[in-house]
Amino acid sequence: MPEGKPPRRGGESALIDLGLVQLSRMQFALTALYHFLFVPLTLGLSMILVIMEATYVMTGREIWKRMTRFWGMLFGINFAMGVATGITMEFQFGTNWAYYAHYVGDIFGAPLALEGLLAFFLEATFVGLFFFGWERLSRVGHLVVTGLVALGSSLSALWILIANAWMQNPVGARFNPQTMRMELASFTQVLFNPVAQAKFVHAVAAGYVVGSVFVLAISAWYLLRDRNVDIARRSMAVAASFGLACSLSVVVLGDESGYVASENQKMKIAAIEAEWHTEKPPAGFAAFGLPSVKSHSTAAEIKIPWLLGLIATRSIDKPVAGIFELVAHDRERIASGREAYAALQLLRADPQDEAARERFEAHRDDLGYALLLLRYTDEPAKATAAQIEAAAWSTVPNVPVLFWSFRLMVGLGLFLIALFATAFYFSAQHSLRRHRWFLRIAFYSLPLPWVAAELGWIVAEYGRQPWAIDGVLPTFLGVSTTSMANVVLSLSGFAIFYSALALIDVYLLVRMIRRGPDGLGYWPPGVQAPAAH
Amino acid sequence: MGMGEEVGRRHSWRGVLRRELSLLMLGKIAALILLWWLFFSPAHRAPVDAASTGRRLALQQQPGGGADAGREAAAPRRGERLD
Repeated sequence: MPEGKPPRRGGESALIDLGLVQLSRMQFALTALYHFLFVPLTLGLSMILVIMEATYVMTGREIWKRMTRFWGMLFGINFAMGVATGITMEFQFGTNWAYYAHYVGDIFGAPLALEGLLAFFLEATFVGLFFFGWERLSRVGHLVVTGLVALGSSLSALWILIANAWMQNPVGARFNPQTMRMELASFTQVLFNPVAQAKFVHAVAAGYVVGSVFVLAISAWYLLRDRNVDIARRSMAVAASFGLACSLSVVVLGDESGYVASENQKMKIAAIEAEWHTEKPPAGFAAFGLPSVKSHSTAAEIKIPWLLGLIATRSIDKPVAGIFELVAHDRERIASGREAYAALQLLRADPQDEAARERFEAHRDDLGYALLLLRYTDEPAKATAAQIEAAAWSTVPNVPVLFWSFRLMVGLGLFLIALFATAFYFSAQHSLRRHRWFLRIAFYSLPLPWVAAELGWIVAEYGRQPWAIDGVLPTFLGVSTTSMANVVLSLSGFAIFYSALALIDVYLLVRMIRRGPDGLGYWPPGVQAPAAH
Repeated sequence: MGMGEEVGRRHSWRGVLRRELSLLMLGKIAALILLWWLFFSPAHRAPVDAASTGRRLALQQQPGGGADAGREAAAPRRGERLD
């Protein structure tokens, strides 16, 4: 938005161009969702490569080495795409989210920089050795390299999720009225943020599930065509056992992630559960329902008694706060935030004003709630009751989207557990090839873990709205003062460029999978494997 | 194969590699400069500092103005939450 004020639109603040905000959000969502297609597969495949190569080192059987090389080649294509699409996201903080970058860059920038320096460099260095070191390193040496690639991938996810967790639970930072930004007070608190720990294990385990389904589905395709049977059977055994363990872990770790959110993001939990009013504990879990934002109620609700209370609070006597009660509380925080805002205005005019400083300190934690008012008025101190009400209700994320995204994600997760359990059973019985119906199901399940992972991302990030940083900075205040034309141009560019990348990625993967270990010379024995890919 | 022939072949192989690497590097640098020019040059940079953030949050509009408005509300103290 240019410095000059655009005309007012429908009772909104003249300071904020909501069209620009929506476009910037769309662009970030597009790039993040697209990037997140590659991340979980990198995480999952890298660990499966470690398992396969460790089996080779322990047994000395050549087939496990050839398997590692074949799946490693598919990993390489995916890895390159993940890197290319990840870099653009970090640039966007500077180009499209300049105020966000200024306001919280002091904290948010540190884990992102550490991700590049400590994780990505490790991963990128050893991925080269993985591909070109087969004939140059000892067996154990190469296994260590593969392990370091997997470790680098996981560390990369850790640092990114530490940054992301700070957006959900901003600990270890304080707002400085002089610099007008949040400043780091305790890096230890940022590092050991409980949300980061819960999110990390949940996201990494979900990545392992994606990798396992990928291997399972491609192997099923080979078995359906009676090709590469030796490699496909072993690959399915690895994918089924690893996938089963990981999919069960995802449930436990997801539960932990939800429990942590129920302590610091009550509104997100209430929206996911369409919990409009606080129920008498223990609250029931809505297995089905049609939540309506207009009527603030859920139609055709089918509730399982006690379940939500047990999951969200791990007790039978603690309530799960409802949306109406949380909005009432946010109304109070907006009032407190207006105190902080008014004191901040005085402090900006006179930094030596001790009374204003004291008043600001008393209400500083609620400053972000006053900033919500800037969507409706240019002067939060003079906000009307209707504007305060609108701001309080703006703290409620889109309930139907969260309600159904969460349930679809959970449903897909349960289906994948059944898929892995069946694959594990048939694999242990050596009867996979006899059950062609199962092989077909396994193959057609290929996109499902990605759908689940993207839905999980929507629950976590769309559920954080209206906040960029929960309780600190509303999303609409974080966008750069750029023009709509610029964002339309870059968004169109991303859409075209990413579509082209997707076509190239799918073409390369399909081509390599169709050629398979036999066509590429990895297997059967006697065929000399290619020196490097 | 004579010794001189082998040395000559190695030299030509290295020459080709050097030329290709140089071209690749030049191409990369050109792509980076184009990216910088298109998206990151000073013309594209949004000047963001304490003052512009203050303007963004409408704090400079009425220094001190409306300060009493917040006093009317029965505001909870810092750290109070609904549990």
